[in-house]
Amino acid sequence: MSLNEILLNIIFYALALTGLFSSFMVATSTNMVRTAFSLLGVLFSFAGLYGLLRADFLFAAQILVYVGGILVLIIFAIMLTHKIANVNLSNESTSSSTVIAVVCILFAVLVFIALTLPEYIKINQRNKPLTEMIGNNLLSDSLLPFEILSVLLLACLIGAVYLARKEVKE
Amino acid sequence: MLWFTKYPVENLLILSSAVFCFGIYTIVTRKNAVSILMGVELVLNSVNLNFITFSQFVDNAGISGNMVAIFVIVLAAAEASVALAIILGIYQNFGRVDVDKLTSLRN
Repeated sequence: MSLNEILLNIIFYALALTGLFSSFMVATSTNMVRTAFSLLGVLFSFAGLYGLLRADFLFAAQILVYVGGILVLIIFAIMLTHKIANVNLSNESTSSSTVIAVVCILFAVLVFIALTLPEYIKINQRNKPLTEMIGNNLLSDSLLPFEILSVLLLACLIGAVYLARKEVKE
Repeated sequence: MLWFTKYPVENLLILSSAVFCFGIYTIVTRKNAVSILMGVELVLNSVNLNFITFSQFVDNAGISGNMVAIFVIVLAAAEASVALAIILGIYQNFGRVDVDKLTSLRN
């Protein structure tokens, strides 16, 4: 292995272990706030993986939308749905051996599928930057989904404000 | 050994399936609604990683995998905002967000 490959391996396995450990914490931790910050670890390690795969636009979008938007929303929700004075931010879970067995079977099936990729898939990593192609594609091939998505976002905005407002008692 | 530089797709697929299984486990076992939402985010992220892996590594795949991943991110943002608004509404009405205790529709 050349030095370049060794470095790539080290970066990949560091990111992968961070993601795995953080998602394990999300699944099992009993403290709500700790769960949210483990989710932060998962999102950052996935952003790093996108960078490693040279998906430059997705790398930026992951950090901007997921870390900057969704995670902050989730932490807001945790803070708003627990009384601030009540320090006990417990996070109950009903673990049973059935669930663990089913999830393990699911994982085994997925790993089996991943290890038996069909032969006709040629593996060859893309080297070109993607942002220009994505911009062109958004305004030509996927213009209709893009516009529908903007309408959907507007509807979501209105719906979220309507749902979350305080009801006026008369 | 299954090194990443030799078998990149297999490594990424195994990682994403592990995160997917953790997400499913979170969705099934948690009682708090916000935690269930976090499980959904884990599942969406692992699926995104699959799309981007295939889009970047398979020859002649174009960039449709990247486009799908972008749309998934936007839909996840919309879904999170509406779900959190619903959770806040439930909290105002019932004072709790444990999904196994919410057995009535209104008070």
